[in-house]
Amino acid sequence: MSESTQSRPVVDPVSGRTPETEIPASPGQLARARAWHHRGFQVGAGILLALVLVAIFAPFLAPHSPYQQSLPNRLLPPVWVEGGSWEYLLGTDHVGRDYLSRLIHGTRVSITIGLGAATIGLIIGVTLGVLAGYFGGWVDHSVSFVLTAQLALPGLLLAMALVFFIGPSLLVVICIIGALGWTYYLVVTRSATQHIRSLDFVAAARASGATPRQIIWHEILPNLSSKIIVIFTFELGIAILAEASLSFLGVGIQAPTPSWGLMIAEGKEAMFYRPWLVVLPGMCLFVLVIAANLMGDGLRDITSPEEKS
Amino acid sequence: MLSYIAQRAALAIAVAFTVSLAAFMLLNIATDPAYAIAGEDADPEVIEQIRQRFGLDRPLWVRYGDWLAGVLRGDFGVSYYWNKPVATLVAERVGTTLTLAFSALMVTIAIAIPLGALAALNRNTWIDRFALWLAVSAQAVPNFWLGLILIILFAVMLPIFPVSGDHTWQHFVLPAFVLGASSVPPVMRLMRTGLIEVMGADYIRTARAKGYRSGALLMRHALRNALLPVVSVLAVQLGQKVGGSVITESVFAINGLGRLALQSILGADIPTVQILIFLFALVFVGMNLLADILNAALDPRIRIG
Amino acid sequence: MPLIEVENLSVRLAVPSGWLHAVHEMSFQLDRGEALGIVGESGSGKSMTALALMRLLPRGAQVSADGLRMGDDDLLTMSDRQFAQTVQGSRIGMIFQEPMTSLNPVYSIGRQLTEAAVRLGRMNPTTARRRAVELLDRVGIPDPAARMRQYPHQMSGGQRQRVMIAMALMLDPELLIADEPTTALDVTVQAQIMELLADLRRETGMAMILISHDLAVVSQTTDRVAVMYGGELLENGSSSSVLAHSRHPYTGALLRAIPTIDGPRRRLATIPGIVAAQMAPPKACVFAERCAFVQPRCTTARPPRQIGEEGHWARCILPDAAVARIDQGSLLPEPAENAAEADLMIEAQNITKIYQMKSSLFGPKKEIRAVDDVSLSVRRGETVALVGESGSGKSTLARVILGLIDATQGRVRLQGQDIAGMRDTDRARLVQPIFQDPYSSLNPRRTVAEIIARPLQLRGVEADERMRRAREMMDIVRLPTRLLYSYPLHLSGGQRQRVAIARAMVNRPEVLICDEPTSALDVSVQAQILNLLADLQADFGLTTLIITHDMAVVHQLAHRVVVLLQGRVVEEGPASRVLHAPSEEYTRLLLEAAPRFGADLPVTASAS
Repeated sequence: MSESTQSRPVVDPVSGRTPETEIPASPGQLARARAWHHRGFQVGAGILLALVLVAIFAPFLAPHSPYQQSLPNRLLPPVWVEGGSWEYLLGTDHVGRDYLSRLIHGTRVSITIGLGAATIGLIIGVTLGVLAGYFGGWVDHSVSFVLTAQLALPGLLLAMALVFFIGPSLLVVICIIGALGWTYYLVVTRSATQHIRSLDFVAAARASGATPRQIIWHEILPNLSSKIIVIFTFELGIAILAEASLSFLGVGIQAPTPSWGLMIAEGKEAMFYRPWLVVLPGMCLFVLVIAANLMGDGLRDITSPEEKS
Repeated sequence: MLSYIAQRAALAIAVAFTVSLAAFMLLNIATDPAYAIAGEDADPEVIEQIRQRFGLDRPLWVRYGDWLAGVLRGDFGVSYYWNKPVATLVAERVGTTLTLAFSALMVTIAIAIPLGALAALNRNTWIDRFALWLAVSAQAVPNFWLGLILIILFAVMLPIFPVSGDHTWQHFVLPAFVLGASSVPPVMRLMRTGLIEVMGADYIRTARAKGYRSGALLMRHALRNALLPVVSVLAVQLGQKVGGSVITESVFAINGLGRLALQSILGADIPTVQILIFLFALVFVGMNLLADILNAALDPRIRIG
Repeated sequence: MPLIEVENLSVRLAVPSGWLHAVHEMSFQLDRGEALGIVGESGSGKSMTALALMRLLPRGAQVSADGLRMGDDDLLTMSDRQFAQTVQGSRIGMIFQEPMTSLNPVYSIGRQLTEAAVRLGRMNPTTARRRAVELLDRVGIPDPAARMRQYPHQMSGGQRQRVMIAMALMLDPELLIADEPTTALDVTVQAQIMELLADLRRETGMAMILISHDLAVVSQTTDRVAVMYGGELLENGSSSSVLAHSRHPYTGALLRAIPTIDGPRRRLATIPGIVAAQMAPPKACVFAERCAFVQPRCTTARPPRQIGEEGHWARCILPDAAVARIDQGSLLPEPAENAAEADLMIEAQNITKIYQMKSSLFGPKKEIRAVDDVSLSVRRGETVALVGESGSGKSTLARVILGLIDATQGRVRLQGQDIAGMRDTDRARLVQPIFQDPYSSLNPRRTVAEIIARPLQLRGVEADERMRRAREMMDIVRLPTRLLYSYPLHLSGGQRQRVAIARAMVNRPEVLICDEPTSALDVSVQAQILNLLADLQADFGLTTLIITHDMAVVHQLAHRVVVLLQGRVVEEGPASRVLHAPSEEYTRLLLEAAPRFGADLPVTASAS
């Protein structure tokens, strides 16, 4: 990429930009330009976007109600298996609910929990990480200790116990998974903040009389944003799998809500003869999570090409 | 070196107790053990009796002190659900879970280390792309689902392995693979990036300037440096495997600590859940300590401060 | 027969935007026992040449040559295996720039010294060990037998470089390639290492290729000098001849861009522009864009070699005498002793800074006295140089004065006010820093305009006014205003340093503290920045504290010198006295390490 293709002369009387002023691409614009050429990012982001749309418009897309039971139509196979029908494209479950409709509505549960939990983890982890990295000393020591303790906790087991004892609901699942899933944010933002804190532009800002708050908001967070977005996409996948595991074990989302993990658990009873009951929701989980991971990998390459491995 | 280990050990002990305290508080705030024992619809009088009998009317921190004193004496309490000492329950199952965790670790090592090294040495070739693709996919597969699919494939369609249970070594093959596979992506990525970094280091250039090439260069100059961070992560992964056994043991109906944990949660058996969380944390902390010691042994920069 | 014969060696590297032509058709010869210096700025291709000879190029590099011979052996056709067994380490030894990372941290010194000799079957373990201990002793490592069991992290940078030298000599190579062997070391250690290399060459009779950015160091050490620029070898001749009668305008300009400690203070000659990456094989003179004597022919064809006396040649179309016409640069006014009654701008009294280090949780606390009871005063309009090597405490002292770290003891007054009680923004109004590394001193996520205007924003200045002042500052530091909306990633090192200077000056501070402001820059860029600093001092009546390890920079800018060693002041006085009649042995060592070309640069009357 040559300089000339990145620059465009702009005249703007308001801001006093003159015709000869170049507006070279910002780091963000360069990243967006790279995104157009990153196959993994395109695939991941495309699938993710499509699934978010499915989640939003689920009631319009689903051919049946996900809750409507129909005992005469129990355990129908998908359309391509003998005995399947176009009425129930992917067949029905053990109480005769349309499997396709349940899978479509399951997208909502997974994406809501993924976004919610990853956001809660972000707020906790980034706050602690930036504070520990910036102030060091006893702040850093205490945060590191909390981190070590959190890592030592068997997260899944504790999440299972807490969700089940408090009472499983969507909100509880989001809060518990989010509150246990901040370590990755913390580790990365802490060391990145330590590094940025040691750079001379922070010293220059301090010498200009900037307060810690101004330095954190103006100098440090803009340099962390791309790293945080990358972790967010990975945490999205991790949270989605965690919810599926809890629901599968019976201590997460409860019937009759359509959660993919719960559907696998329900389908397990009949899986030797009707494997699609287990295979289909698992495939959905796989596609959603791999899309998030591909997008995360892509974002990492795009935002920090120097760290590309 | 001794002071380094002493320091790490002190930290490990502090972490273990913090974790036990956190788990105790969280569980006892999240639910009222008296209700758990009495059942949902018990009348208030019965619950009050139970509270007094089990000492649940005392303040939380007193109960924690009691519990901790018991644990330190080796008294893990009595399970409400099984009506047995928790220590007995644990002792019956700990061997099974450890067997599973260690075999899973072997699976991880056998796949992740060679694959990561191959990918690093053949960077940007199809081997590398395959390894990375495998890592991304493995990360996205729900662990319990992988277990079910393997049961369908290798226990039902091709009946090579038993569907569930824990009586023979064949019973452990599929579970160990499932549990081990979950650790392959992080370990493989670390091995790969570690080796790529080491192969680009100045001291490798020095070794090449002395006439070292390919195999000898890898074995005598690169591998030890690249394995240093991997050792720590493997130890941590082993600690997590014990915790991760909850899912695998449930899928394959293996009577280990993980399945006990799930049953105890579903039975609201707080004493057992508490002990299990504490034990799992203890294993994790112990493994971390082991990793620190191994690192000190392998790395003179830590050994000779 | 020459020991090494290189004919039209080219190296190209795969980079995201295509092929970078790092070395282009480079030819030279080296006789047995001879020392050749290859000199160039960063990106000139000097290190790539050495790595190509040694087959150590990074993956994705392509090498081609018409001839590459060592004695009777054709190195071009030799297999990698044979090259590794008979040449690498055996006939050619090599040492590198970074002694801190060039030794494997997990193996002992002894193992690393002996392994190659044993593996190649040249020595048995016992003799290899004996030879290693001898060599460690020879390169000046005390108690060598005990050191064999130590690990690299237990040694200092200078010691590690000595170990690297010993390792390169294990198999008695006929040629030693030293790639910037002293760049990462302190100046006094640099001198020792260069002396050691010269002595060893005399003793063993081996040939040497010394690669360096430092023309002065090279010319003092080697028989011949080859000057590289943009992948092209521009000039090659005996050291004395190249220094005294440089035949290429680039060499001439470079010589006049380097500040020296002898002779009168002059404005430094600057080379306009920056080194451009060669993305295609050169079809013109690679230096044409920046050359003061450029002619139309220079841009249409690659100039031929003009060979002069004693094989001293240059790739330039100019007649010899032309290069001598390069401006010497106008004389700078002699630094007048500042009037003793001028206001005291900086008063640092008995500053001590102690860092507490705990080796472990239960271990005893270690104290490091970074600055030990140092007092310093600077009067209005004065430029004081704080001189010292790494670990001398000079940067710590600067940060204490800037208010970035608190002193353990002592106090700092700026213009009579104690900084302890001062508001941060008030202090910022008085004193501003310029740092060493222009790559870390600018926030990569902010535009040049935002960076320069940020101190104004912190004081609550309106946006329009900020913009006006930022433009004004761009003018003052001679940055084109078209760069206002650029991000640091688009700027060169020199441009970044100008932005940093503009940011420091935007509030018109009274005092500027410059921490090694040029040591991360190439020679030609260093000259631009030093000239700019001299102009700012004159135009704004600035008071300056400049921190450096380079006595030539001191000579160029300072009125007064304070020499620090291990946190204490060892010598203090007017620059003219300290530079010419130092009273301390340590100051003398620092002075000896500074570049000095003798007074034999051709002098022409300055026009401006």
